[in-house]
Amino acid sequence: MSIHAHKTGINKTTGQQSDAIYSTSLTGNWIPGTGVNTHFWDNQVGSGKNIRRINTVATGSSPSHWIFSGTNDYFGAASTSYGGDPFGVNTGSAFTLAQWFKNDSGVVHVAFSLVYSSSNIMKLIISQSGGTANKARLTVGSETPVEFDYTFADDTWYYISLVYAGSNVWSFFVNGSFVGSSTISTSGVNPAELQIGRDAGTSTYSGGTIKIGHVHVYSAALKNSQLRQNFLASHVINNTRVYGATYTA
Amino acid sequence: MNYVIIETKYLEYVDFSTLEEDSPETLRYSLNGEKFFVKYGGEQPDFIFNITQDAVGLPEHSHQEILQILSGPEWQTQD
Repeated sequence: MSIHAHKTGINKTTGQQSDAIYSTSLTGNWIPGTGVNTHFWDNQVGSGKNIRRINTVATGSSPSHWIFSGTNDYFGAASTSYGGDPFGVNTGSAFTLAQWFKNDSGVVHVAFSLVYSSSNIMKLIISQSGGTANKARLTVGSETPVEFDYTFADDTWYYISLVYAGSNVWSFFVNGSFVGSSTISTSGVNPAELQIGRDAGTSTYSGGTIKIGHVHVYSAALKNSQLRQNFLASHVINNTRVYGATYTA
Repeated sequence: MNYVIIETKYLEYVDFSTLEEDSPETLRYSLNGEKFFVKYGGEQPDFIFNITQDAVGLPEHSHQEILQILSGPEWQTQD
């Protein structure tokens, strides 16, 4: 007697490697080393707008990633001759911001900053001055900041996601797993300029040892299963593939 | 890469074709707006000598030195 099991079925039940990121409502998909990476970073979404590479964020290789200098480089609004029309996020509706980054213990990383107005900034910062080292802190405008209860390890890559579900509800995920949520009052705008590596509200920049990889933006609130799919699509545990446990870039 | 701090009143002297920065909008300014810094490879760009009106130029900083300066209260909000 023999037992036949369909290969795909086994893979499904044991957890298969995802081959592609979740694509519905995807408005921004930036991959280091893919497309134009000179004066701007090429959005891989068809007709998607770009983000500008400001003051020459350094490139890393094997495989490609970005490295901040800690002085004045970051990704921000594209403009004429620097990527065209600027990329924006409709913060009046649900949205999701996600990225791979490599934590360096205690070093500041401005993961995301959205400019609602010059005096109203949303920012998610790791190891922010005044906060706890190796934790993420969310500030929306002048509201009291919220720190999420997850401690990032030193010298390790993470896929972090900030989800705004509407109705002032914000949630934070690490590697596709829910960490926490909070209600923070906000008045959205369309579009809000996206910056990475710089807090548009203060003179805080990501530290000189911080690295970033793929960045994803959605005009919808992704669920943990969808974020987990993105995590798996670019990650293999105990492998040297991008962002794996032994990946040393 | 080398770094030089310049008073904002000399902004019009800056030749961005010699710098990593490409416009006044992408410069990083001190919190009071009175200074900014520029970064470049190699020797100090000629426009700096036009600012100082001498052959000495401005004090030049390494990456580590400028990071130390930028972490101070003149350049970064202290929580």
